[in-house]
Amino acid sequence: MARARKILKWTAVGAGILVAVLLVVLIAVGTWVVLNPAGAWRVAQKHFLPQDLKVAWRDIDFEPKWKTWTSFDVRWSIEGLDVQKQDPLVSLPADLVAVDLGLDLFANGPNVFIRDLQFRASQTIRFKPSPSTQEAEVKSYFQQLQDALGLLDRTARIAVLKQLKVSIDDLQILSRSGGRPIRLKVAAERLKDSQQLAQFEVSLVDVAPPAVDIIALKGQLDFSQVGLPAAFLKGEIEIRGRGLSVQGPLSLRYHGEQAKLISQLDWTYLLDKKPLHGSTNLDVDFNSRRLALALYSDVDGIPGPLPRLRGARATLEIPMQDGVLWSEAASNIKIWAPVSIAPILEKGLRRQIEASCKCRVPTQLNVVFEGKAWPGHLLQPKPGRQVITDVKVSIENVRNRLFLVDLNGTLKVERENARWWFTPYVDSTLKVFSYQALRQFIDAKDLMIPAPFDVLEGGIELKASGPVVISYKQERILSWEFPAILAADLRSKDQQVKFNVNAKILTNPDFKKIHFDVQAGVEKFRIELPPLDPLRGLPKLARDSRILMKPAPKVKLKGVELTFDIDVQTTQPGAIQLLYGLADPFVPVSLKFHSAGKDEASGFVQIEPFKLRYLRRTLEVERVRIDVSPTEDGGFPLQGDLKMRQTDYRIAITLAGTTARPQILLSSEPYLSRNDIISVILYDRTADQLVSADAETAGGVEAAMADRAIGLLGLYAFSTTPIKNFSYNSVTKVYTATVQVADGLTAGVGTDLENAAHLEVRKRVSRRWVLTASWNPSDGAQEEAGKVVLQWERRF
Amino acid sequence: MRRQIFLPIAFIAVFASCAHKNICDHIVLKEGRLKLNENQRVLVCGSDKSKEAWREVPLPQARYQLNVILQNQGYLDARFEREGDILNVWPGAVRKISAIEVQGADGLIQAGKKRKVVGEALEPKKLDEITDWAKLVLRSRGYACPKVGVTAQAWDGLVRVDVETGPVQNVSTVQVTGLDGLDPVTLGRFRAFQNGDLYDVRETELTTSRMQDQGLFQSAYFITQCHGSEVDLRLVTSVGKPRIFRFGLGASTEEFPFVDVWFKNTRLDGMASNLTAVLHVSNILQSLDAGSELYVLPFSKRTFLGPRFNVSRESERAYEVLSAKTGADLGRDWDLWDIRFKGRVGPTLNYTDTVRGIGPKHTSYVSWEGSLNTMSHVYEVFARDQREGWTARFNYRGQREGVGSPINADLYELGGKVLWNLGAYAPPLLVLATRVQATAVDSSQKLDDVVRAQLPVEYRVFLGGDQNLRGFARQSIDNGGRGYLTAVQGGFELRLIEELPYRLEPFLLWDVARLGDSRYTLDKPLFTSYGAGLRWASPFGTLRASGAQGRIYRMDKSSESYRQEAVYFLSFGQEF
Repeated sequence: MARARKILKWTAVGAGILVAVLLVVLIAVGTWVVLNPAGAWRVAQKHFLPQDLKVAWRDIDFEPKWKTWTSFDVRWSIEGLDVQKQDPLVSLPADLVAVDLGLDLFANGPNVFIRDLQFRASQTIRFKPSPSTQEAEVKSYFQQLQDALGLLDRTARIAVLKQLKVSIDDLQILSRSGGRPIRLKVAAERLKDSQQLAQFEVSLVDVAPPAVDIIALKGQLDFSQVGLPAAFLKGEIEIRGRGLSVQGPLSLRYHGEQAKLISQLDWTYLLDKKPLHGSTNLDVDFNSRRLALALYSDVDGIPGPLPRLRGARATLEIPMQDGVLWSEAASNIKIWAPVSIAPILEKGLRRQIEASCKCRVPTQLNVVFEGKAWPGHLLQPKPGRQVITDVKVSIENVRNRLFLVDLNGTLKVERENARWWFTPYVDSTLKVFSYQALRQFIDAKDLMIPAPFDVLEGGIELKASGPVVISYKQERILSWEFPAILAADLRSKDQQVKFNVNAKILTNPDFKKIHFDVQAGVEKFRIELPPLDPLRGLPKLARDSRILMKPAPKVKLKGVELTFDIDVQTTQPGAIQLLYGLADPFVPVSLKFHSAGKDEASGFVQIEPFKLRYLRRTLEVERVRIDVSPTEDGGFPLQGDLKMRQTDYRIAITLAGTTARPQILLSSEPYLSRNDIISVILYDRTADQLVSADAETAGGVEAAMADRAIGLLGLYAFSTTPIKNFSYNSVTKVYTATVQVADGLTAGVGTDLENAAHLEVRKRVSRRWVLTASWNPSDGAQEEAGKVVLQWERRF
Repeated sequence: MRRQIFLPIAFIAVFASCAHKNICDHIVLKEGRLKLNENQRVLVCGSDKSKEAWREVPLPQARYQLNVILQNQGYLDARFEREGDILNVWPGAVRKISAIEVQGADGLIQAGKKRKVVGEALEPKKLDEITDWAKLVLRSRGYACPKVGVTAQAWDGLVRVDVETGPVQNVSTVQVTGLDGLDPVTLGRFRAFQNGDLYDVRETELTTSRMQDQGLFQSAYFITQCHGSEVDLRLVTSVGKPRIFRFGLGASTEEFPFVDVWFKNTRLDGMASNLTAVLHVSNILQSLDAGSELYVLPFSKRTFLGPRFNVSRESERAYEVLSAKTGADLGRDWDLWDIRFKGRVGPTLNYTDTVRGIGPKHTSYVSWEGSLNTMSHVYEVFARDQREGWTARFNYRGQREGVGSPINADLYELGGKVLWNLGAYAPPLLVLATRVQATAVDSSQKLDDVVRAQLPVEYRVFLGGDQNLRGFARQSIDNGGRGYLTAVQGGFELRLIEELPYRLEPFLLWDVARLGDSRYTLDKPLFTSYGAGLRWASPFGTLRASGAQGRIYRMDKSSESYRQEAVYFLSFGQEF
């Protein structure tokens, strides 16, 4: 027992000595640390801290002050602090770190309190977190907010600050993946007269030449309101950069497990150097189940026909789930934009349309953008192909007796790692029930729907339905391809136009290059040609391109580049029917045409059999085909067969060569020479039966045809028109012809009297009697003389 | 409905301003004038002939078409305003051509020589005219296939002519088709150029004109193919049936009425020998002419033998003569140095009976007649326009006593005409025309009254009229009906071209002549005419009117009977 007592005694003595030694050592170390902090830091850095951590300072001041045995104050300030660590990367140069804290082991309130905290850093501070090696506890954003607010609350309770002043000019938080760092400028100050209020200013800065983008939030933080219905944060937010300028008040409250952010933002965006102004009310409700964002906006200065947008609304509802950052449930997004169409339809026009459709044309249309989104898939991608968003855009349908407008489209965006898939789909219909009303509409705008199309009536439907195909090259969007179908069925008393057009519209991402791939099928194109008199010549339908109206610009402005790939064909032979008074029953035309750019064209235009009747003559057109492949002479290959039955002869006119240089080959049954054939065409008689004047005419026509002074139109006119006389001057390549329009009535064709070398004015009195007034130049020996002769002639 | 609204508006619009004209019901021309042809009207205003689609033309389309029409007339700044269903049109001012600039022609085309362009409306017709002119200039100078592009700058009125002449080209070959059995040598009579000559479109045209004028060919034309410095020509011809018979009733400036019966065989043989017979009956002249050109001579295929026969009764103011002639010539037509030569020479057996006036009664005699006519190609090409070139001729006629003639007599005539295009403008501005003729009648006998009375009328010179002295009546300078034996005359005319409308050409004239009653002698009196006139190149021939004052200087007894007065002529088909 004594032994036990003895052992206990010595044990107690030993422990007392050990405690005393420890206390002495501790006091000695503490004293040494207090008295020689630099030396103490060197020892600690050498023996206790990580090797990659380097801490240096210019001046350090540590001033402890014992108040009682259980309470003391410490004033500690470091100037020119520089903390560098490799992993995780820390670079913390600070101008000043100063702490004035108190410790009271038996205080009623907080045991530790900071009276004064100052942190000032004018140089860049960098942090780069290390890859986490262990699974961190995942929390939803709302939970993170709750944690942050809890920390704020605890901080407010635990460390009652008397003065706080933090100023960091450039804080860079580097991304683990090596992307652009987040740059912050932070300034915070605790108000001296309030225990619960603090002023702060945080700027998210992105210095990216030439623009300086900034997101700045400044305001007051009222710690006392955290958890109460009033807002604990009130401030001003400002966003600037890249043409966008946003500013407005912002408040945040947290009460009853729900946070609410309210803001009213005024913003300006420079779109093509023209300002776009807007005013947006932002309302965000945030709780553990969802984040609901509501926007209400007015916008002014929109380019195009709709300069204003009033009352556009948007909602975004993101589901939340505790324990996960992003819920797998889809977020809902919806945007309503009422678009006023008043600027397009001025009053007069509206009245016209309303009168035509006997309906009310709305003043505005709602554009709705609605769909689902998965922000988690965007911001926290997982392996595999994931849907980011699937939205539908639609414009409120308008339907009346006149037209139907139904514009819809969807867009599905998917992602797998860095690869994106965009799947747009259009489903839109524009239907005009009354082409006439459309014509009136266009006519009122002083635009042209020319005759003969202006009298047609019927419907036109433009439909775009199908996926918009997007082509990629090296994961960049190369082009968009839109499907479109245009169908028209228009009729009038004698005319009909019915066709279908399938089109693909390809455009590059910036819409600077647009390519149309058009396939058109003409089912029926029966239109009336103007009742032009062939003897009056074809009036010019376009301005003479030789007359230049203004100098060619030195630098050609580059606008939108449009290219076409066009396939047009008639669905059956002769589907194009041109109504013309002289054609019996009409001019039937078949067409097959392909064009791929300016210089690439193929196909043909073919005139099918019909008859031309004019002034008691009949020309049977069996076939005329023009191949649409430009030749060197600027024309197009030509083939044709025409027939005429004149008295006892059947004359075949074969066309060859090109449209610019047509070759007219004549043959007959029974056989006649070319000269005789022309005589028969012109006079119903062979050359040997002609009076000499008529023979000259026939010769002149032949020469002019050979010299290609008479082209296809001339041949048409002459083959359908009895010619009274004709002279051709090969020097000037001018022909003069007088044709019989009706009995006893003649008209000049291609008349250029000034250039005709020999002239006669003749009046045919009967088959062989001709009244002539003629003049022939002297051959020198005889006097020149003029005379008028009623002459009968026979050649044999 | 549209019409119901639009008619009252149109009515008000028209009467609001009397100066405004309705182009059609709904289009009002607010200034100036605009005439549409029938087809243009269809495209602008529509047509009642249309079944439906073209009865009315939409206003935007009408505006477009009107703009095209106005621009084609030089109105390049037309303005349009629409008031409901009415389209108002202000054509604005006509833009005019300020200058022509030629590039690439290496001085061949002188822009300053082109008239009727600068100051004229800038319209496509003028551009065509400039193109044709440039091509004609080049094709007349050896460039058979030139390329000429013409553009006009509306902002400053400058017309640019861009020319690619290609190389100068010579005629390489001439292929002929369609001769129908004719000897190709016959074409040599008509050809104005030879192989190897520099290409000149005027000469090819001249060739085909000559071929068709003869009646042998119904048509003839050249097809041109260029390759390098040569050009191949293909002459396509069509030979008509050989015999032509015509019967005509008519009137001319000298005769009213007349009847012509005309027969020609253009192809007596493969060398295209021909025969022509003309019966002419009028109040002044009744005649039967028959002649032939027979290419039968063994020594030449280009020289012809020309038998001829003529019988006539001619009744003029100074005389009435019955005559008959028969003879034969040797003749040849050929081209050299861009000149056409025509030579004839041969004997004639004449019978003359002067019924009235001074001249032989019932006389038969043999005469020799010869002529050489020359004409520049330029004159021949532009004979109708009378703008440049020259002609010259020499005629001889003689008869010898004892060779069927009672007297010796020789007639020499030398004359010519030159046309100057002053400044070489195209078209000409002023054409100065001059003509000179000298006539001399000689005889180895003394030409007393007895002999003079036996001289046939062809040997006696009468002047006066619009072919020589325009200040005196036709053939009124007649030496008391005896005619003159010597005459020298000249005429000048200065004609202003294309400065008056309707192709009217005013001219100043001055004629001068001296005559002699004796051989190779000119009497003192100097006959002059001065005046002015107007030429109209109508579609059917030239109509000329002139007024001239006749003046006789250094008068003597022989000229006292002539009246010096203003004489007016109106002629058809005659030139200076």
